[in-house]
Amino acid sequence: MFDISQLTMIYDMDKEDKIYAINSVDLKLPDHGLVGFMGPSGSGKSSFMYCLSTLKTPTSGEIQYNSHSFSQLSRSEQELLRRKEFGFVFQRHFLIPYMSALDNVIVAATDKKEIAISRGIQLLEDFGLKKSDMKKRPGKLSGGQRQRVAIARALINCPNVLFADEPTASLDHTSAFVVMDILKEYAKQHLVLVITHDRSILKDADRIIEIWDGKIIHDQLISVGSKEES
Amino acid sequence: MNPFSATYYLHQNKKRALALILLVASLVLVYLGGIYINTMKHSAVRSKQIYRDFATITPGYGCTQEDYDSTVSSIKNLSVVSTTVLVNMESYILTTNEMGTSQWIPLLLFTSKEDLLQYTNLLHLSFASDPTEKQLIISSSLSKNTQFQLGDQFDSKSHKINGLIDTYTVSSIVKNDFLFALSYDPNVEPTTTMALRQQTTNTSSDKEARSAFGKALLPYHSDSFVVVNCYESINANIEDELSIYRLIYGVLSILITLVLAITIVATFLGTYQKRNYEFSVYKALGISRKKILWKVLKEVCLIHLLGLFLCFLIGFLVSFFANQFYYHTLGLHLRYFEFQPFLQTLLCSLGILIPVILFRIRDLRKIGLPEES
Repeated sequence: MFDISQLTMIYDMDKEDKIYAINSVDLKLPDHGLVGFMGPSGSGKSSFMYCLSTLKTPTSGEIQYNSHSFSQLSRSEQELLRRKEFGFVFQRHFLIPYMSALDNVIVAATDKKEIAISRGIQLLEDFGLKKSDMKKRPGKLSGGQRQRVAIARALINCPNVLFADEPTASLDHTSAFVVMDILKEYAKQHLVLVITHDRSILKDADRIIEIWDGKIIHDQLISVGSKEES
Repeated sequence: MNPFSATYYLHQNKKRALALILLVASLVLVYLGGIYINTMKHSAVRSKQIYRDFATITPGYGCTQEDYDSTVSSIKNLSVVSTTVLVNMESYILTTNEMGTSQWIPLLLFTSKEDLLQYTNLLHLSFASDPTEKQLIISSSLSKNTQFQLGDQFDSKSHKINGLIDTYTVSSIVKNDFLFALSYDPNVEPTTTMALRQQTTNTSSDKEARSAFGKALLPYHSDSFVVVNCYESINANIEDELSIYRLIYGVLSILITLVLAITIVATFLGTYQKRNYEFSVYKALGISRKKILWKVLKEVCLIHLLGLFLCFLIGFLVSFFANQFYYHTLGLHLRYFEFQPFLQTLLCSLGILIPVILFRIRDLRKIGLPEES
């Protein structure tokens, strides 16, 4: 699905000490599966994900998604791609505080309102939220519930790729595993990219990529009964 | 309700939306200020309404008797003039105008009953009984304004009517919206020659007759020795007097607009800056920048329109209650709508809306990632 070649992202281009957030990364990603990205803070994981999701423009290199190069897409085409093909789960849920949980889920839906509401309710029910909780604003929900609402929002348009940046960082272990179970289930038919510091939540991952100083230092493919490393 | 719609934001943030709407509605100060200024004009014009049916001919400085008689004769021969009569206009009645200030209107003292009746026929006035001398005939509007009742007596010591030598009694209150008071006294010293316009058969043709009368007398205004005053010349003076008030109103409107614009722009900026992360989330979710901008502009315009609606509603209610509890009791009326203040308020509101929109467009260009907001 993704074909990344010589991807580089440099901050402070005009300064002497340039910062290489991503440094000549080559990578291919499949069309489904749970892929974990690990690395210390500042290693370039989030920058890498933002480039893959068109939220940031790399300094150089190429990203191809289903054989379409990002560099040839206009801004409106990139927005359409994010809307229809990609989903985002952020470290902090970033739910809109004045909207109810259900409205937060459907705000970016591309379907008609009735279909979006129906799908949003289904998603939230699947994630364990009661109907009474769906009408509540994020401030009245627990941390785990908020993150589940954020995931439901990310999945409302059935994206082909789900980007999750530290989705369990602010959750307790129980909630964290609930969230990872949802992502793992979704990864059976779609590509889910997860950034995390916590290796324990990647126990069911199909692939773990370690990034250090903007470079991939370890790429471990995990499948049942075997381990492949690069 | 669509969560991305402008109405959704207002519905979910009622307090904040109401605060912003009330800020815009404070443009009612501009509207009511304009109503006030225009009411001053209407009040001044209204007090001069009685001059529509006659012209006064008074000797000016350096005027000889020959000049005066020649002018009176010339005016009397105009086809629009029915006759000239002698009248005393040295007495004035104290009234209150819409500004709450005092205004003096002349008491028309004719020298004969026939002259009085010629004038009252001109105004299509009718009385229950035949007028007698030193009996005041006043309009119902004047009665309300001054609280003069039937049977009230006034003499030289009265503070409500000055210039009286003898005692006058209110004998008739005639239903009429204009402020006037009439009487006759054969012994009173005439001070002015009054040229009455031609009488018409009904009130509908009065307007044309008044217009023709005013036009015919225009050439006589420029005579420096004989002062000829009619409604048109008095009205022109009113416009001159009001020009300074209009200037003050214009300056105050600009000042109010500036203050409101700064306050509202700052408030909107503060409100929307807190929502920057919301817009960056929309961007991350793939909602186009154009759509986000349209949403914000719709919200701003909706708040603005609701604020304007509330502004005019408050203006109407203030006028309504002021009329009910004050002005109507004095036979006065504060207008509910005037086009000029309405237009001025709309222009001031644009002076507020445009900077808000421009600042929003500028800020939305810089939407970053949610973490950066």
